[in-house]
Amino acid sequence: MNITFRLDQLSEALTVLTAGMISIFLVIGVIIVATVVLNKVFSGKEEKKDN
Amino acid sequence: MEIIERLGFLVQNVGALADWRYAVMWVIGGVLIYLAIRHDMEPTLLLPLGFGTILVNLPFSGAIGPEGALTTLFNAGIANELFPLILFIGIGAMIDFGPLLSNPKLMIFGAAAQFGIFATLVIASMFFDISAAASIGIIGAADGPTAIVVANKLLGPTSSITGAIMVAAYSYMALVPIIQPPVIKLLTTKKERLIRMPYAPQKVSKLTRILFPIIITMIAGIVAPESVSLVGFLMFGNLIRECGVLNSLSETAQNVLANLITIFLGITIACRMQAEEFLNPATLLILGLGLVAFIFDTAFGVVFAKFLNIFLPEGKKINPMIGAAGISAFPMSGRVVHKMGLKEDPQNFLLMHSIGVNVSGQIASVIAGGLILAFFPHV
Repeated sequence: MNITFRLDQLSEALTVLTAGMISIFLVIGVIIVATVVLNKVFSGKEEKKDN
Repeated sequence: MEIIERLGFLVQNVGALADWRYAVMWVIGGVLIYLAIRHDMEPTLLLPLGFGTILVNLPFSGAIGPEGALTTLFNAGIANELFPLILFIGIGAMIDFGPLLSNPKLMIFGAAAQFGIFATLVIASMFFDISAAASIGIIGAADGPTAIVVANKLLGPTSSITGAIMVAAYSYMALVPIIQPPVIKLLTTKKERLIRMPYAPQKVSKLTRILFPIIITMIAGIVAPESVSLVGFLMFGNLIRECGVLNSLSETAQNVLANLITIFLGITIACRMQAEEFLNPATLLILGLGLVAFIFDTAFGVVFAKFLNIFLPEGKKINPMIGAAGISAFPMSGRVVHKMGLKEDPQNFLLMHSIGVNVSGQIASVIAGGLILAFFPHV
């Protein structure tokens, strides 16, 4: 494989960087919210069951 | 005369040794075995990889070629991504998401530490085609199986740089205890490294532990369908662990299954380490970019934690070192941060926080792999 220095893909790569980081924070954000909801909903139910 | 003719193969074999590249690959194989045995660096992977490197770099090696045993194993387990996915079942069964479920906010650091993947993609795009650059960037996932799956899908298993990507992904995972501490120290002050984080775990119900892997699979599958096999196998392993009725399967997945696959994975990856493919400037550049990816992952995790600290009140501040554990290399990275905390202050126990961040890195890296697959066309 030949290696040559090139800048023609830089703008596409920077777009991927931005889109990638935004997407990953969004998905992880959704997972955090889902986990908080799970904890809230089911910890209460389990405590009632324990009582 | 007939005897000499029959012994001609010996001359041919020994004559082939004149090619210096074989010797270089034997040294590389020897170094990998040395690191595995002498320094205990990821020995389950580096030792089979090192031995395999020697095995495939013997002149006219019968282990490779169209009917070679390693070629058969490669086609059966790596080219179709079966081995890394099955290994994910074992890894999923090993992971306790408890610390993360107890403090879900920690997951944000797992997302931040994926910056290395995309930053490396940008740098690699200056030297390689964009799909190859994305495959090189995924070394920053610090997760061998994800790197294999992404590189295979974007470049194809026979690409000349797939081998270098796989080797870099696994080698740097073993080098996490060497790569991360200087980067963390460079970006933090002594005062920041001394920040204590009390651990007050919230009770996590069994039902939450069971539903978590199912919900993560669904969310990841909807957002990035390409990642569903990676996330799904990881979470399937975790579900086996947490369901409470498959203890025997969970133990098998954690030990026997993971060990069996690891033996074959290491030696089979060596298939892509043949001298003529491996010894070229592109390999050196990929190894360098892999290191850059790990450094960026670590640095961004730490810097992100420092950024959050600006908004947090005194007493609630985060020890920025735990941001570095967002790199997926589980559990090495979590342990590295914990040890660094203890070195600064023997009473500062960061383990549960750093492990929580570390498992979130495992989830985030797989999702990042799925996003990369969604962004680029496949071979």
